[in-house]
Amino acid sequence: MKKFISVLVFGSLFGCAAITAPLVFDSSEYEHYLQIHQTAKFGKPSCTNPAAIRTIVIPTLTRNVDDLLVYTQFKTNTGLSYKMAGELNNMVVGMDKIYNYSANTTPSKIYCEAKLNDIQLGTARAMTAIGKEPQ
Amino acid sequence: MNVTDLVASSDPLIASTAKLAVSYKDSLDKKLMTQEEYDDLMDDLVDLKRIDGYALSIERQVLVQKAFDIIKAFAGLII
Repeated sequence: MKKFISVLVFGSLFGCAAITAPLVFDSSEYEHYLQIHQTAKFGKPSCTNPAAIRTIVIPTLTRNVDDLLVYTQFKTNTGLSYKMAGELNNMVVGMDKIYNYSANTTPSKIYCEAKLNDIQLGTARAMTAIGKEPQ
Repeated sequence: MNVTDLVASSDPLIASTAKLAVSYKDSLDKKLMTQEEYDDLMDDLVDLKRIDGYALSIERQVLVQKAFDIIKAFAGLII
């Protein structure tokens, strides 16, 4: 009877959180976010050279974000990291459109730096959250 | 309430997002970026807001998980 009451109490306190897969810190997932963050960070000096952004920075970001998307897609947790990866992908796709599919052949340095800064902010926020997952 | 109030918000996400929006608009007004570039950066702010929401959910789950582990251990002693 005590066990039954305990189950009821836990159920009311925690809802479905208690029965979903527990969150555990995943260093590979963290590493994927780090790669994106560092590519954006070290890509900023290239903002004066749109050709370098087109041929090096955007392809590297695209590959890194795709790696993260595929990695998180098949994780058996809540899917929140996959959703964060999806938002980062939107940001990189937006940059690719401006540089490669727009009439604007020389995007501004200010846009480039702001975009890479946004990507850094997004990855930093994601890393802050998944860094809190228990080891 | 206007955007200046949001820049002064005590909520760090609201304040930082408002600051970015103001700086993007300023760059657009000074013609330092095109309308297309501005629109794309404003879309980023929506993406960043969503990332923050997902990150908060993860942090909340971690908190609940830790609390549950503690209470489970405590209940194990009394059952």
